[in-house]
Amino acid sequence: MKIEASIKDCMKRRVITVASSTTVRQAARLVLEEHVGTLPVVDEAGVLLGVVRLNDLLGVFMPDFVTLLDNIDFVHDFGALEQGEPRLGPEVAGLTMSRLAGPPVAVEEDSGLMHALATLIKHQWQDLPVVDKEGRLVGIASRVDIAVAFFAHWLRDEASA
Amino acid sequence: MSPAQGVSSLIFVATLVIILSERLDATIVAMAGGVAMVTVGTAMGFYSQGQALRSVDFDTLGLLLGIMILALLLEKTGFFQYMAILAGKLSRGNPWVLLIMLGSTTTLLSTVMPNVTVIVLIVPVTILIAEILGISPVPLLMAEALFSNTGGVATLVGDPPNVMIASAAGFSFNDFLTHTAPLVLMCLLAALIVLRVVYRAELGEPPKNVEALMRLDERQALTDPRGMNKVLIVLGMVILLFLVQGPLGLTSAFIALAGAAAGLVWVRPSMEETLKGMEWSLLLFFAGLFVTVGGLEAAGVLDLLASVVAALAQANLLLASVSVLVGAALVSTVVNNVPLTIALIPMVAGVGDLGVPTSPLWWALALGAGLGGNATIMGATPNMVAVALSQKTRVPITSRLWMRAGLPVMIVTCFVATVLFVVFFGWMKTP
Repeated sequence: MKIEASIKDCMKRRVITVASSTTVRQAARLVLEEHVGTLPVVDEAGVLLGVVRLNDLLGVFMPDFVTLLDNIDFVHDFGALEQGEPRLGPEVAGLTMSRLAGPPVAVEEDSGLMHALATLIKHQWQDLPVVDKEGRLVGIASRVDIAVAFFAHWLRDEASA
Repeated sequence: MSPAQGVSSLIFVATLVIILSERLDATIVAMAGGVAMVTVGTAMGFYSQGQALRSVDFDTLGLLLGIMILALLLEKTGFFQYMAILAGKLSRGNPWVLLIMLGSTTTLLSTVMPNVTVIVLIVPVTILIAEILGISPVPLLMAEALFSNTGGVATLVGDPPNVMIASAAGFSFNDFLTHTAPLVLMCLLAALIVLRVVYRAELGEPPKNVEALMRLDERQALTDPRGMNKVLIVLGMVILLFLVQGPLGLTSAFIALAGAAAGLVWVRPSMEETLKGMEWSLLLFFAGLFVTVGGLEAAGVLDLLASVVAALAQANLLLASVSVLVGAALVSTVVNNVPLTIALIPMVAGVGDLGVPTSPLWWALALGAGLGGNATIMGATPNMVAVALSQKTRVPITSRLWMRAGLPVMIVTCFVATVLFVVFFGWMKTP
């Protein structure tokens, strides 16, 4: 199988981004309105500073002690945890993206699909930001986008063979 | 004092001071101290490499190693979580009963398993139960840490100071059961009363969602029920052998290592995975300190100190013993009890060499070092672990929060232990 496509052929060019100063509340609203699972953090010039994933956002609402338990299969009902809203104080809703963002992992736009796939799997991410030579965000490719491009090449090769 | 005695004392004191200052990792300091002692000792001719090896107490190390391996095997099966959930459900959500159930479970487990292992595994489930019920986890966590320290004093394998004392004094498992265990039982009851008074407000909170607690499924916490049965059978055999070790002439280290070997043969886990959980640093720390103290002994410093203490003990053995109990307890409030015990053991042994009966001094040391650690967070390792875990809850345990319960528990239990020690002093003079 010979794949000549690069990541820019399958990425989306319209990216929903946030600034370092965006709050959890604003980010939650963006997810709600745009149905996206990954929010790249960029500066005014569009340079990628970090990446906020859905897991990072949801983690804010998860009580910290849950991370101490390596098995929660035996819990069927979270009781008081489900009812009150203990974690939704103003200090939580006001947390900014600069606190939540992970490292600015991305691939450059002429990167091959295999390299993009490897990066995605290595970091266990759902979406992969794509940047230009200057580090400016130019697009984003989801796991599905990359898989579709990859399989399209594979199956086309097979059909022609 | 000879030059050898002066120099060896200097190295020992420096090692101890750096360990207690907590500026450097204790294991690193202990190893460096040991190497310094052997180097200087060889150069000055009072200590050799062979002597250094012989001063390592392999009975202590072997026992700790064996028990650690058994604890790791048991940990992997989910047994500890299973016990905590069971205890929680038996309380039916009543906070006071919950404290008693979780506290006694922790105590029981701590008498045979390393305290830190018990705390690390029981505390997360405890926090979960408290959060489900919507009550404060603090009284429960405090009870668990305090009871695991106190319960550990009851048996030979309960905490590291006891392991070392047993090895140095030649006490058997049964000696602990007949000497410290009854006193510890009374101390636990006293501690329970103290906690009831201190936490009357928190324990009066009406629990919410009791049905959610009852829906926890302890069987799903058991990730390896068959493995658990195997390890528990082995552990039962180990305890049985401890009970008859005197007549059979078995050392504690042999019993524990034999148990570990049997457990490993039967369960056959991945050794690489299993050994990752080992507290190697604790074993190295012990070895390093043993070598350091060995130099002190070889230089004759301990005999010097022992002759002073022996004179006191000969004049009034009861007073000397009570001083050791209270003194060890007071020092343990600010100093981890492991280095304290390692430093005091050769001295008490030296007193014995001068013909003074040392049994009451040993028991006093075990009680004082064990109970004193309850007062402050840094007094004992389980305290530090419980506090670190509590940082992930809505009510992190601060030093003040700790002292509110820890200090009165330490004072009351030490008082109870001292009174009983004096009343039964005749019995304490026996091994």
